Amino acid sequence: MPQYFYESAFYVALLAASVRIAAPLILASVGEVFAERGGVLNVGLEGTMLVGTWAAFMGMYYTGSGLLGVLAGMAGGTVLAAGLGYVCISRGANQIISGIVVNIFAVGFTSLTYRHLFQSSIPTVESFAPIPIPLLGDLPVVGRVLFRHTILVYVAFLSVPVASFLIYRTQIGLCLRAAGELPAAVDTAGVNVLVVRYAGILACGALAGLAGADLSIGQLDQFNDNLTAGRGFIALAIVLLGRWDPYKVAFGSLLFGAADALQLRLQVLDFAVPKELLSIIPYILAIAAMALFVRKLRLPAALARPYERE
Amino acid sequence: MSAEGISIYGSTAGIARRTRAFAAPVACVVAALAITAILLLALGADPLFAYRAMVVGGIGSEQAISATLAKTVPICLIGLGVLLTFRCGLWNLGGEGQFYSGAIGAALTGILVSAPATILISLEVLAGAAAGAVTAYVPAVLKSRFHANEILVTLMLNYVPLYLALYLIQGPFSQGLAAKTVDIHPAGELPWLVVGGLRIHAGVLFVGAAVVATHILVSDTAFGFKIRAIGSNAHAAAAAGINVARCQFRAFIVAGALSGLAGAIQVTAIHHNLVEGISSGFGFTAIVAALLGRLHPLGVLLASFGFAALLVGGDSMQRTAKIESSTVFVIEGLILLFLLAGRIIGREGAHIH
Repeated sequence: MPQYFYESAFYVALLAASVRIAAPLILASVGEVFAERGGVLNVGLEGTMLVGTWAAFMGMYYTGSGLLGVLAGMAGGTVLAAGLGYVCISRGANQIISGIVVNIFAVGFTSLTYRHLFQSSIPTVESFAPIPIPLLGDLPVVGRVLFRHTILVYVAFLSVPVASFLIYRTQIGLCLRAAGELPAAVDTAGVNVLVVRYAGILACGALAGLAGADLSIGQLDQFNDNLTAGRGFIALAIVLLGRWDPYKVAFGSLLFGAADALQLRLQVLDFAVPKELLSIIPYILAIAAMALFVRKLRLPAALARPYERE
Repeated sequence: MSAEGISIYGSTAGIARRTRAFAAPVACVVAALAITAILLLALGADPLFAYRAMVVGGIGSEQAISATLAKTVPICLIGLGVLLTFRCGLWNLGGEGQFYSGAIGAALTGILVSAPATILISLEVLAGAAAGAVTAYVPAVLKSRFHANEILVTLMLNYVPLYLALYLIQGPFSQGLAAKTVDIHPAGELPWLVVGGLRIHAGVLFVGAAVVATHILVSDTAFGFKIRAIGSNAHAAAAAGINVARCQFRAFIVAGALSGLAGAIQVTAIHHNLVEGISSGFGFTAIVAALLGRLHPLGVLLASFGFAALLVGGDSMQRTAKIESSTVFVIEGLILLFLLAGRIIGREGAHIH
């Protein structure tokens, strides 16, 4: 065993990295919970995140403001989600196909515009600085792991109780869940199913865009082609494994964050296994988890079914 | 809308409907091109120049058509696999990974095995198809035994052969600085033929055979009948005594083998090695080609040719007009979005439960 396995600093850094890496997964998967609870399966989550990374980078690059960058990322994700929503909700198109198409468009659009504007140069912005939380940030170990992160990481963790409250404790959440289980009941109660589903998918777009912003300007300082590298698909799996519950989904995100942090750290430390093979770990983990834990799964009854009045 | 039911207007309505059936997809293509043109204008590029370069590069010469035919091969083979799986209600989104596996299998065989041409080529093709089938075996078995959702398993599994290929390219079989492996033995290269003015490789013959075979399989065999029965109503098919899980399992394996074959052909005929980015999104383009071809083998072939022309035209446009080839994915995405919004494709229900 290499020496660093016996040093506590390795594990503290690993846990801190797990939390940081989990943040975009939490944002994206909590967003997807909103969409799927409302009955819309957003397979385009990967593309929505990608547009978020792109828009956030562009926003920050051209305005110099991190806040405007974040807002641009959210706006980018929301616009793409609105397009997907129109096709799936208003026009009743197959949601899986629509999602694939959204992903193809997102890859093309972000790559075309970015490369055309910047040619072969790789422009950078100033990535977000960690904000230690007073007192808590000074705690040994825990402070380092949990309370010395960028603002977007805190936002990601705050989004979990907020989402849980919205979904389980408010009228809007009730309508959303009903729209995903028995949309006809929502309609009978005089609430427009389509509006409820749009709310779900737009929230998903905004959160996925925020997740993207965290990747490009929160953690990195640049945009790359296909920067999300499958994180949107991992988030989709996390939502399934976390059974559409924000807390469980956040827990799942932390597990994947830990797996990813471990393989990244081993890559940096020149571990015996080549880095390309280490990169496979999170995907294998997701597939294994789905094989083991997804047996008796009850999906929202109306998931991926367009609503049409009888 | 049932306004067409009035009998005296029946024939006119019929003509109108047929005109619409033709005009609507054309309108979608035009709208997608128009919006992409606006985007290109905003980026300071000349869209007419770009489109001209794209058309000339994609279908404008015998050389261009040869290149387009070569790119039709992987899209169509993967698309036929997608057809089989979608026809029996399976959301196989793993064509990309199965393609990569096939490419890996064929490349390793071609590099490591030394044999006379006929034997080596057969081995490469078989290894590619087998590797693709093995990759499809994972979601197939997880679906039939563990009821794991095949959408997510296939999406996730796409990354495994991709990183495996990167490992082989960077590691044990690296060619040096270039992001590709060492070449396969020259004996293992798939031959090229000159037909008329067109220069095509032998892989095109596989496509012809696969289109015919898929058509016969779906239309004229007991297996095809079961697949169609499952696709139209899985519960009814099960009630009628069809083993749904077994049929879906087999369809998955055949689809994987077809995608793997596509990867093998791409290695043995085009690159002669395993190169980074060997699939320019073929797996996903094949899915939309299969849908645009209305899950009919001949339709899939035509749609694949169309998308291949778009891809080849895009590459050529990047060389001649200096406009990023990713433009084609914008066009592709927009066309499909409009077709979906116009309810021309994608009305299939989703059997995800």
